[in-house]
Amino acid sequence: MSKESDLSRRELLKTTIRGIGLLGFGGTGGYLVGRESQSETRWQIDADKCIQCGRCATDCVLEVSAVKCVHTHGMCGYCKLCTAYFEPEPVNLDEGAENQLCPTGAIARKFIEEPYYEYNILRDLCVGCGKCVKGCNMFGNGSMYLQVNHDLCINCNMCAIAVTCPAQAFRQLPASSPYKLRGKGEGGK
Amino acid sequence: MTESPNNPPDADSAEPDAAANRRSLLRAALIGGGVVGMGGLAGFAGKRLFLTEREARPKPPLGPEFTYDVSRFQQTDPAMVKFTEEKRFATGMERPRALALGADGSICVGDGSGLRRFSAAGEMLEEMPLALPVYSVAARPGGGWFVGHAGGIRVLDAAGTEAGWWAQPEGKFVPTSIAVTGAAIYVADAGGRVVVKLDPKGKKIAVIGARDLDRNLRGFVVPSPYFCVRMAPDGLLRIANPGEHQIEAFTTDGDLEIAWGRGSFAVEGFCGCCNPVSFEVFPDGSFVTCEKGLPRVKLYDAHGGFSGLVAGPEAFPEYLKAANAGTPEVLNVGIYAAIDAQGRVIVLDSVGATVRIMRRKEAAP
Amino acid sequence: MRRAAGWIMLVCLLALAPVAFGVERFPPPDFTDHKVPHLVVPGPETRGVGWIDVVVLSVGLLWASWLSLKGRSRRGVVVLSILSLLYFGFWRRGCVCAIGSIQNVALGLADPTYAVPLSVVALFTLPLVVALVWGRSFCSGVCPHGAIQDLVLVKPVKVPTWLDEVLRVLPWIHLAAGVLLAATGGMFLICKYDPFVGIFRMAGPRVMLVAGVAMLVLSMFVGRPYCRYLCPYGALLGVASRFARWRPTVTPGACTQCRLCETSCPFGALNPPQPVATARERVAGARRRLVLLVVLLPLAAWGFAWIGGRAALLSMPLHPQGKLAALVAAEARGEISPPLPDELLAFHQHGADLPAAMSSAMALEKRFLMLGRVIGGLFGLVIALKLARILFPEPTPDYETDSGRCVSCARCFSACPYELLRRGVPVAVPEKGGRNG
Repeated sequence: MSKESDLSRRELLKTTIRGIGLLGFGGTGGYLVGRESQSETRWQIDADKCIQCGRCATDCVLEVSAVKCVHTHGMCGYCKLCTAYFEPEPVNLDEGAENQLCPTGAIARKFIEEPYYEYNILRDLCVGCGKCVKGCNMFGNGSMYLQVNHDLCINCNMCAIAVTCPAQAFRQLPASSPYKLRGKGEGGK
Repeated sequence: MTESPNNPPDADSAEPDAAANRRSLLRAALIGGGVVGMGGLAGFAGKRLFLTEREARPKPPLGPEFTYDVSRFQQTDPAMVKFTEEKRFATGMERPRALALGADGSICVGDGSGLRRFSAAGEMLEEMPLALPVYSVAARPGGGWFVGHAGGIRVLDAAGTEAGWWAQPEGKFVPTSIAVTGAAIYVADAGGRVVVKLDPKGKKIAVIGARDLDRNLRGFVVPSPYFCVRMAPDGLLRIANPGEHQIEAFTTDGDLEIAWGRGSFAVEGFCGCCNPVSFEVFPDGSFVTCEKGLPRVKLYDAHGGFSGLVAGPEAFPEYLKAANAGTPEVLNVGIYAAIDAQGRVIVLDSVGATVRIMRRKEAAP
Repeated sequence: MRRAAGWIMLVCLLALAPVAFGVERFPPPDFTDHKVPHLVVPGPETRGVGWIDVVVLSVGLLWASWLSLKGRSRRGVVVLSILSLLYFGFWRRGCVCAIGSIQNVALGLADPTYAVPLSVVALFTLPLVVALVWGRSFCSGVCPHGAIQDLVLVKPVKVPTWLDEVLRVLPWIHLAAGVLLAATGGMFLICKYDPFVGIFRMAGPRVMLVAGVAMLVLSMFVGRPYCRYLCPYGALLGVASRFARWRPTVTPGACTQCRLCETSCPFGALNPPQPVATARERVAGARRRLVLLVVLLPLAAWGFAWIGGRAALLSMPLHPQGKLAALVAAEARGEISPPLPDELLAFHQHGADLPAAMSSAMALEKRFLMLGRVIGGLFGLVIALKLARILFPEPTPDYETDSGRCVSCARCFSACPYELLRRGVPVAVPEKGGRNG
């Protein structure tokens, strides 16, 4: 057994394995790419599963969570006494801070006409704790719910909240329609 | 792996080779032991750090100010509960939200797929599948039922076959309650936010309660499909104005006479944004009212003074569980009550899909 | 089943009812002159970034390969490292990266409904393909994780060989656990315990940030600790790189074994010459190796398959469904006292279908066990081959880079006098064979 033949045999083996490796990686990649529509995905909350546990506020990798409350006005009752806006027993039915449910004051209340008031989420103040959502779901119409805001979300490969979500409410949606909104006809960009 | 440099690479003697072999065997043993040790350590650390960390964290580290908590209102003083449960039976239906008593005392319950009639003992007497979800039901004089669907009223005869369909032109007609008197049928239309007065043939006679400031009518505030109308023994209609947390008395011509009620999470008031969701009037003119959010069935005298409870929130554990979780299961469900000939209160709980028959407690000596 | 029927019914209701019955809208008030606003949601800003990532990655890989094989320039590698640290690290905020892409690919292969984006597939495949041809160019300066560690390395300390060998098993454990949890759809472990992504984002859980800083401090004295002792993708690249067609060599010309490069590698990837045995010894060695492998391989594969299965079952609570199943079982045994954990609250809320939960947990357990055994078996093979390599090192006449471990950082080049000569630096060339002379 000469040294040359030993080396060339070794080289042949390496070349073979290299070829198999290239085929394997190429095949895997090709299979995954060619399998179906390879649209980019975004994380989103299925509001119908959400139980407002509060982890969206704490478990996002961002300093302030990308999960915020959104409000489908078309489902809102425009109540004077909104249980998502007011403490359960407010001192007065006005915008005083002591009457507000939201700990960060992230809901604005606007008089429309007797007896209706409109409520809007101040996104920059919302931390995504879901307190108002629970108030709205418990007594109201469920027009307020949590959604991942995609201008803020950095689209982690594995969403840190999705891992800890006790209701397994996180889904990956196509990036072309990355929201799961309530109410018919909602979802404008 | 460092071979000693003064070991010539092409040494032929077997001695250093054997030494090298021993060394590499020793090294291999050391490495093998190390791997096993590290594996054990990693497993132990993993078990301690990750597995238990995840299990031992039932609540997030958010302050209490970030948690919606109404648990203090979900318990009531037992002394205020004036009724006791005599019987409870499951309807086997999905989120039923219509309740009426027949002239024979049978209990009719409606859900998304039709009606079921039960005896007071809880036996199912009849099942009437319907193509549309049932929002309300009322006994029809002379037998049969009026059934409220989105878009119209279905008339069923005593045999349960369809005897008429009173279509309502408005596209958003949501009849959440029907009150029947000898002369007219009053339908609370939550979508139109008015009470529609129909004659016994189904022809619309009048519309009651539409916003008209000249008649001092501010209109009904109905944020969700809960809107109830009943005829009281004093001849005045009672209509719930849930957004205002009031029960208003109207003449049959649509004039507002009096109103009572106020919003409060405390037991004396109506909780949440829009309550009461339904009510019923006793022959003496006093009321039994039902609330959603905090499932409460309460008693008020004829003038609106709070006089006790039929059942507090603690009596509806399934409902409370759903409400506290805050999932949509708790949306568009309610508590409904009817009063039978013996003065018992029949309570329908949408979430538990059960009917309870509540009997007044013996007066304390 | 009842729950399914309920859902079907609900769907029918929604389809039938003109004014929907469920959570769909109830008509909002008729305002005199107020228009109900439409819900506006902000879209993702980063459309099309996937393609840019692929292009940047490809350019980076080619550049890095050229730098390590042809350009032979450490300075170039440093520039490339800074650029990719800025782009893949701080601009793309460390996500998606090739290391994490293992999990997407694993999940994609295990779950046909899971779509792996093209850029992620490219991120996974391209560095491996390049490794098969030119070695671990990706690690040298394209990978932001490698770059950040390499750039802060100031005073490398040599890790003792035995410790180095032991620690180099960790990436395989990490890979095994990461693939297991990703392929079962549980979680992306590799992302969750990534030390640097918190630094790239300048935000994150405190534990993650502390771990990142600690790892960086460690990287100042230990060459690329994450790459060598944790990175699961590095483990794969190492294997691929062993079969590379071309790979970096210390010297551009002939090695005279002057030993000047011996300590130039901070990553323990420079093998000193190994004695070339005689033909007789080679035959004996080959026989010993064959016997060892024939005995060891099946034994290791079988043993680690068993361990893998057990470990997989132990790690089931890391999977959300596994955790839920454990909680449901505990509740059924009456071991859970109120207040209920959120998982159980949600479970009861969505129908509390106990038989379904248990049967899906059983199916999950089966999958964990099966996958755990397969991965454990493969892990056993890796360990056996590693041992064989330690016991029977390849004969190498000169100083050679260990192709599996070399990250093409280009540090050793400038230690070689022939390289300096090539660059035009006047140095005295040691005599050939000076080592023994």
